[in-house]
Amino acid sequence: MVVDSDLDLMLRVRQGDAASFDELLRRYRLPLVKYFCRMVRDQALAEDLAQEAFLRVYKARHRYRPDARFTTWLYRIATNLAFNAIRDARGRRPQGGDGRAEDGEMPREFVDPKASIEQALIETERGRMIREAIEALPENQRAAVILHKYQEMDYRQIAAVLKVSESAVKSLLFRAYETLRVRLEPLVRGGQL
Amino acid sequence: MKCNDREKLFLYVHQMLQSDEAEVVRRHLAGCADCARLANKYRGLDAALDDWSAIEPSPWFDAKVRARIAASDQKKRGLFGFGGVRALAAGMAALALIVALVVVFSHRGVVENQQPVAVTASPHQPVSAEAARQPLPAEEQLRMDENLRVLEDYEVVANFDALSELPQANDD
Repeated sequence: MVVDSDLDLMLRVRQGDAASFDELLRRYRLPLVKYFCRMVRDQALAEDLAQEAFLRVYKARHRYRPDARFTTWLYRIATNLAFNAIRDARGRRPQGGDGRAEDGEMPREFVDPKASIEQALIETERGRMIREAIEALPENQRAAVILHKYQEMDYRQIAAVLKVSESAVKSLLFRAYETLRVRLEPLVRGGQL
Repeated sequence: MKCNDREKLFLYVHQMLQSDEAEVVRRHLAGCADCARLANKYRGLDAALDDWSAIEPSPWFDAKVRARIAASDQKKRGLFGFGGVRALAAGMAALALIVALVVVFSHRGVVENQQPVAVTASPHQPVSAEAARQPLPAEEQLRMDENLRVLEDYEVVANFDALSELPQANDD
C-alpha cells in the first residue's frame, strides 16, 4: 500500500478533498496536542489550541506552498498560537520586573485547578521536576527544546519553524540544555530523588 | 578542541556538527576524561527528559475540529453566499421595520406625555392666540424641524421636472 506524503495530502486538501484533511488530522493530532500540552501546560487549552491550529491549516490551505515541509508549516502555526497564548496568560498575571510573578514563582501560564488536579494524579515526581525546569525557560528556548527533544525535529527544521538562523537554534538549544543540566542535576546523576 | 568549548561538545553529543568537526571532538574525548564525563551528562540529561509524559487527545478531538471547520465554512457562506445575501436583506428589512415601529411608538409616547401642551401638537384642536404666542418646548421644536425637512423633501420630489417627463401609465 502506498502511503501518501503530507505534501500530496495537503495538495489534495487545497483542491477540497476532505478525506485528505482527515488523514492529516489523524497523523498529527497526537503530536500537536502533546506539543501544546508541553508548551502551555493546561490540557483543555492545549486541545483547544490544537483544534485552532488545524482550523487555521484548513482556512489557509490555498496559501500553502509546496516548497515548505508540511510539518514546518504546521508547527509554525502551532508555535505562534502557543506563544500568543503564553503572552496572553502572562499579561493577565501581575509580574515583577524580572518576568517572575510577584509571589516569586516563575509565571505559571495557565492555572486551571481541574487540569492541575488531573495532572498531579498522573504526573511523577521526576516528570514534575522536568516540567517545571522546562517551563522556567524563556519561551524561545522552551519551544526549541520541545521541538528538538519531544517532536524530534532537527535543528534545520526548528530554525524554519522559529524563523531564526540554524546557528541561532544551536545556540538556543545549548543554552537551554545547559540550564536544564544544572536544574535537573539530581536526575542526571543517576535518578535518585 | 579546547576543554571550555562546551557548546561544541553539546553539539557533538546531539549530532549537530559537520563530520570533520565531529571527528576533532571524538579524538579529544578519547584523551580527556573531564570532557568525556560532561558528554555523558549531556546524554544523561537527554535520557532523563524522557520522563516527562504528555496527555493524549480526547476521543472527540476530531469531531470538534470538524465542527469548527463546518462553523467556519457556514460563516463564510453566510457572509458571501447567495443565501447569505438573502438572509442579510431579510435581516436588514426586519431591522428597518423594528426601527420604524420604535420611532412611531416613541413619537406617540411623547405626544401622550405632553397632553397639557397638546394645543400645539394637534392640528385638529383650535389654538388660542395666547397659546400660540407661548414659546414651544425644545423637544417640540426639534420635532417640528424634522417634520419641516420631510415636507421640504416632499416639495422637491413633487416639483422635480424630470419626473414629469416620464411616460405616464395612462398614456397611450
